Amino acid sequence: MQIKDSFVINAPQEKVWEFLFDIPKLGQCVPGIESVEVVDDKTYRGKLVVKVGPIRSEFGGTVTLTEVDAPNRIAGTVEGDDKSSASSVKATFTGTLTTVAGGTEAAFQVDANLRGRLAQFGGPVIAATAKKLTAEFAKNLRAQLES
Amino acid sequence: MIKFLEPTDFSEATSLLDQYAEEAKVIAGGTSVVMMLQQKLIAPSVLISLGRVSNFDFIRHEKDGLHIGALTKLRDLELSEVVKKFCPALAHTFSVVANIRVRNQATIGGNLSAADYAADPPAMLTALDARAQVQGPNEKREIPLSEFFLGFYTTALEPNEILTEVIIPALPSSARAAYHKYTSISAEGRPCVAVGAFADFDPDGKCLDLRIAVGAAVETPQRLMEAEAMAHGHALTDELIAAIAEQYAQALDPLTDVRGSAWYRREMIRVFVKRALQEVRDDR
Repeated sequence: MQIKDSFVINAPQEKVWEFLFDIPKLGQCVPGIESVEVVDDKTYRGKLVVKVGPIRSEFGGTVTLTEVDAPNRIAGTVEGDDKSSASSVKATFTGTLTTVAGGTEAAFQVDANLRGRLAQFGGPVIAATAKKLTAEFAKNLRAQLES
Repeated sequence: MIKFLEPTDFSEATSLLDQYAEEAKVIAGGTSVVMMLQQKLIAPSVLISLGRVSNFDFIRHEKDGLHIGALTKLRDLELSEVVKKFCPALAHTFSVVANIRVRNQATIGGNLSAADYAADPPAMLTALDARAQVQGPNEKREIPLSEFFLGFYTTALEPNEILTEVIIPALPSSARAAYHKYTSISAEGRPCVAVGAFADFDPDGKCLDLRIAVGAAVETPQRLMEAEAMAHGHALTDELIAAIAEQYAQALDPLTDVRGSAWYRREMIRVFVKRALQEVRDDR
């Protein structure tokens, strides 16, 4: 499954990039994040709670950066699982920052492979949830960066 | 271990819900909740069963419309002479939900509160302008169904509220309704596209009012007021019906799942909006 989205933040590209690598601050902007820990400069471990109606899943996992081209582009992988629903996710992602008229455009693309009971939910529910989470993340990011 | 609580009325049920908050899940017929429990998609520590709440399995035709208690089984609605007389298309809608075993167990309140996008009643009830009466620990309120479904499995119910009654406004004697369910996998399957239509006509056959809600192909039942307004003051000719169906096919943003791709659903929306409109026009 592929998820693609983008949003514009009214702040200079360098500032956005810096913020995205300030992990504790970034963590506060990710909706549902319970914990985030820096293992080394390419590896992060975290816990994320995602709710869809009555369904609550708690994913623990690792993000590994495979490419860092400051302040333009990152790429990496995500591996995680939700023990209660016996579901796991493996994903690769790329993210880019581009200077545009209104500030900086942040765009990302995730190719995710979800297995287990949550997977039966199917693409539409997951895609819609990703969209909502992105919108919330962008809102939080703006609140931090546009002040 | 799940604690199983059996309140005997809605005020007790809502105070329990208020007390246990997110740990609790309300269960009525159980056709949706039990499935989620079995698949371990939800893990509540408390189940608040509505099985012992009495007097909420009623179907009453009153002056202002049809009142249905939230704990009424879909099978009873399908067979009810009151429902058939009030709106045959509504009785038909309940008769095509899943299979008889599910309908003997599932309740209308549970069906709506689960907010499963691939369900039959939401589209028809939205087209009929139904309202949900809900009760919290301190007060009752009404939510129009058009504002009740917020997204996948998500409703406007507050965490401590329970749906208690569904009210469908009185229908003029000159009005007609139709429900078209399209299944792409098996006859008793969930809908790929669901279309509920309601229309009222003047004595010359000109359309006074038209409401069409498309469900199952989209996240929540969708009406397009602009497309509906195209019919006002006009007879529902084949050309007009085709134009309205085209609007629905173009403007809605269908989803892709195991029952059909977005492209396929768009084609089927066009077909089934058309058929539902032909039925409200021709079925006198």
